[in-house]
Amino acid sequence: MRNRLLLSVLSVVLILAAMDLSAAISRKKYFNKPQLGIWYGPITPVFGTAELLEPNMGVGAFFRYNLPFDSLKLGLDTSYQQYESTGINELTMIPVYVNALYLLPLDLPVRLQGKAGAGMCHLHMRPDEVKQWEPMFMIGTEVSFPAGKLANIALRVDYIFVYEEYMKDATENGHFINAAISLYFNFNL
Amino acid sequence: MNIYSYMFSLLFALLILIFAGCDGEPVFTEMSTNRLKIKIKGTLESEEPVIDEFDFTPGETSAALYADDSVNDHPVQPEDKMPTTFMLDIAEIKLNGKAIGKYRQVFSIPLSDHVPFFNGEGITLKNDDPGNGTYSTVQLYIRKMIFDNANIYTFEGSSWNPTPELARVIFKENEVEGFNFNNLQVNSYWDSLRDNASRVLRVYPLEIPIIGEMNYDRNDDETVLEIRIVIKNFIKMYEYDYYDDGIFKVCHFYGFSDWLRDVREDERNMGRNIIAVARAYVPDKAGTITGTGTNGHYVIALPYEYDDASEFRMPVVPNDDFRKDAVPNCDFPVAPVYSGSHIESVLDYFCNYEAYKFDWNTVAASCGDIANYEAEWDGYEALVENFKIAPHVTIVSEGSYTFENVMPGTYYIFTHADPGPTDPGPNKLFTGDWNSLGTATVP
Repeated sequence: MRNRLLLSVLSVVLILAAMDLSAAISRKKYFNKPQLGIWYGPITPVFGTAELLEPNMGVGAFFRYNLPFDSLKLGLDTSYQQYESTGINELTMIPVYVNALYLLPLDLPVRLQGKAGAGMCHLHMRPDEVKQWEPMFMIGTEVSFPAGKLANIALRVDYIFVYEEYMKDATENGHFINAAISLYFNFNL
Repeated sequence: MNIYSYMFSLLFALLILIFAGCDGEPVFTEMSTNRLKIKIKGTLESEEPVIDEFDFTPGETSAALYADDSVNDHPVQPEDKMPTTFMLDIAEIKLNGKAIGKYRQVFSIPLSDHVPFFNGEGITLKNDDPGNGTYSTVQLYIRKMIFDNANIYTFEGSSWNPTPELARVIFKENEVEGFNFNNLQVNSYWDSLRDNASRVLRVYPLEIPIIGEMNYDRNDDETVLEIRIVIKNFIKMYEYDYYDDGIFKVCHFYGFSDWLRDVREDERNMGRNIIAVARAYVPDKAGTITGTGTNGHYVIALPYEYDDASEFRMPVVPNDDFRKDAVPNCDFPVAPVYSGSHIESVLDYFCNYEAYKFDWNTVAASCGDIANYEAEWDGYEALVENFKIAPHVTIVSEGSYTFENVMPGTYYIFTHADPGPTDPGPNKLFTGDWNSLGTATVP
């Protein structure tokens, strides 16, 4: 139900964006500004993890800063993800990672970015009360467009891989897809 | 800060994040594996293989031997056949009230000496691991318990139609032949006068004691919780009478023996007749107890805190009138059920209701006040409420017995002659005294 609601919101945003596309082209290259943003959307365990946990909604925040290269930025991303299972296990996951964002050289009214990164992920599993940090990697893509001079709206899809198999007796890793709508702001730093 | 020193700081932070604190327990592996394994068996015996075999042939016409005295409106017919399948629908499992398995699990189990449920191997239930701790009870939320071969007889005109139809019930989203007697199971009798009795007294959950408790420690590779519900050779036929569109019908269905708490004529509730026990062991730590005895005799092993076997037998031998003997004055009659809009059934209902009022007043006069009512029922309950079956039960075969998977400690060993069918009869458990065989210690 919540996913349907989100899809409806996304559809409306896309329609509004399409109406504003001509304006977007003429605007300054907002990609080259430091940005601070938040995201909200469905977080979905996939592959083997889908059998252990149920999808939910998650929320996150990020900060991005320019690099000397025009099409590349560096971002710091974190989020709060709470998963329940069909049984009694629950998992709270807080990924904190750094990623590089690459602006695809396509002449489109919207900006297409690819991103890849790594970091650490804090996991808290109940009722066993296991709390620890684990290494994680991510790849993702994002399509964005300006909503005025200051703000941008983006749709993003990230795949998060929580690496665990290096541990003794471990046979599983964590796999998640985070899809979200995000709102972020440009700074004239 | 210029952009390069900023980048340097960020990369440095990334390296620290990746290489710091990478040790610990694998969370996703932990979630996908089970350290607690729950096994369920339908036998009195705890050991594998189970020695006791089914004392009837499923599907055969031997139902009269297994009919309860409450089969009164329509006696056992040649068409009544023993059940062949037991169906079980479990909604949830809890330990000390804490959920460990919200998984719906359904089983359709043939009544056979060779299936895991009845041969001592046990069926493994799906569950999650609990947190570390000591647990003394397990709660099974059982949605349905069904035996097949339940016949419905119809009273037509002035006689019974000799050809029955098989009762049908929904099981696992499909219609199957059988009768769900779980609907009739209640926790108690003496509060049945209360208006809300039908709701508050349902056996949901079935609370099962873990004899010797379970000390769950997630550092142990595997802990097994074994649940036993006495079903094998503990099956009787009962009668459920009702009106269907004004037509009087009876259903001859099968349920667990009412050996401990008698089900009387026209009574629907079956009170606390599910005999179950649980025990826990850690296979890496458990040992074995062996000994010798008389062939065919039962042997039990009890944890040290049970210094006599008094809770594991009946203090008196319950005969068919046991409840009547224990509650001579205050056992109130059962009210007839209003049967709908058909004139014949409504007239029947009013006749029955008049008879019920007369009987009720007679009992009320003999019972006296509420204090007597409480005293009689409490006295009856005191005789039956503590009855448990032992965590380790086996039968001596070829002169010896063996208990596998016994946790370290000292155990009292007792022996008893066969609980049935000779004494005290079929579908009955231990009465009389246990004979001590001394103690045994598992190091």
